[in-house]
Amino acid sequence: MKDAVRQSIEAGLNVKTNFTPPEDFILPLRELVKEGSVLMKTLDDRVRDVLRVKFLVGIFDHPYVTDAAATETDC
Amino acid sequence: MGHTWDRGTRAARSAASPASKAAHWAIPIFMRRRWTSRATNAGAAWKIRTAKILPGVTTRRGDGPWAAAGLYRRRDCQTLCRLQRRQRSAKEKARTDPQVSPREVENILLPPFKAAIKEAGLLGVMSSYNDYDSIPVTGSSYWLTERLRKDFGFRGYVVSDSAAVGISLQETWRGCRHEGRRATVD
Repeated sequence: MKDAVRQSIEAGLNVKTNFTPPEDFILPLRELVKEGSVLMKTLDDRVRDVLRVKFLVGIFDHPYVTDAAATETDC
Repeated sequence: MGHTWDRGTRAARSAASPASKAAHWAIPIFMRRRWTSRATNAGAAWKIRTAKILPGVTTRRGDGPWAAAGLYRRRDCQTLCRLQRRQRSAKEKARTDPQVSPREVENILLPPFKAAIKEAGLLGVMSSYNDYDSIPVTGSSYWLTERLRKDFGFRGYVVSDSAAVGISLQETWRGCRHEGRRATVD
């Protein structure tokens, strides 16, 4: 699993699902960084993508939607 | 037929079709080729025959213009896809490996995603379980970085699909093959 973590992070994955215990993803990732096989710069880039979206959609300014019905579609 | 999210196009198609319901089942073209055209795909016919003999699984032919054209309705496709996954899961841990030509990928499947990113400013993407050219998409820098970000200009985040990081990158022989290739290249 550790190498799968490295491979996906290096490829460009930002967020991993499912929601699993830390030993599935984040602990191996920390080891990889300590070993030097994944660069901290790479992690910074992956986190930056997530934060950019959060800022863009205003989640830090308005954490709750005011019009929930707007998310409904007729598809 | 392609696939579209444009409601105007779909509405126009529904109005033009004698069976308006049929127009609603916009089937991605790669699914149609693999799963729904009996006349042109022996593999699909095999799946259908297999479906009939498995307990608890029934496949239903549609009625109306789809059936006349030898096509299956979307929910039938879904039944077949589920069946295929079930069969695979016993042997290969639920892999999905669509066979699509590069020409179809570039000219038919990618343009709507490219438009959604470039024109609509899409900010979230889920990477697929699928392989492309035998490399799992969830571990593919070609798709997640070269194409998605550099080519399409995507500026959002990519989230993996369910257990794709474990399943598609590690637990199958394909992962091993990719890693073997990587090791060779490195």
